[in-house]
Amino acid sequence: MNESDQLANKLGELLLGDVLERNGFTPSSKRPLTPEQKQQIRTVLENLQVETERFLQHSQRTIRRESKPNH
Amino acid sequence: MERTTFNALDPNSNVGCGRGSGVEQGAEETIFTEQASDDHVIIKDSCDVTVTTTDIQAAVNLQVAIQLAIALVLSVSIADGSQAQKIQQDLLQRISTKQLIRQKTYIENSRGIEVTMTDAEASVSIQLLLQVLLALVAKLDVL
Repeated sequence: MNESDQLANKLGELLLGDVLERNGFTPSSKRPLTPEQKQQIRTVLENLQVETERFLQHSQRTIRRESKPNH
Repeated sequence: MERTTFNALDPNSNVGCGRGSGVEQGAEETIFTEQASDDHVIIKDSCDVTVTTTDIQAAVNLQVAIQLAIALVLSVSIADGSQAQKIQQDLLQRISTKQLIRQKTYIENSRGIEVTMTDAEASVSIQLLLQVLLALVAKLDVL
């Protein structure tokens, strides 16, 4: 994990911790999930990680343009 | 004495369009940037212009997808629906970007120009959103 990833990771944790605390979240607030729900979330998460990596590596598109005289 | 000005589209003005033709001394080129609300490249009376930009639509789509995933995880993992919604609103309000920074670039009477623009804020925003999602999944013991 590079420095920017570590920074984003830490920032994300801090932000989340603050929001959860402000809204009264406690361990007892959690709802147990079924194995199917967990698998669905796992799949979504994996897809998003792949898409994010793809975006970060190939986030640019190249256009070649020529214009006509604007007479 | 008649004054001649460079015309990028006139093949008799210096050298014709095409890669490797070069630009002779004295040619005038105008490239300037200003911060604006639209992601736009305006090209006028020019040729051989290559523009490489951040794919803004892909960035927006990915941001929305991650935000939806955060909403999903909160919704299924927190017993109290209204608490889940409040957390979702608070969280997304804090981490959502109001508007991606966009630049407007004008290229006029130019030849053989390459422009590369990178929207760094989009990348940072997406990284942060993903990290929040991962932290949320870990915090709620979802997996």
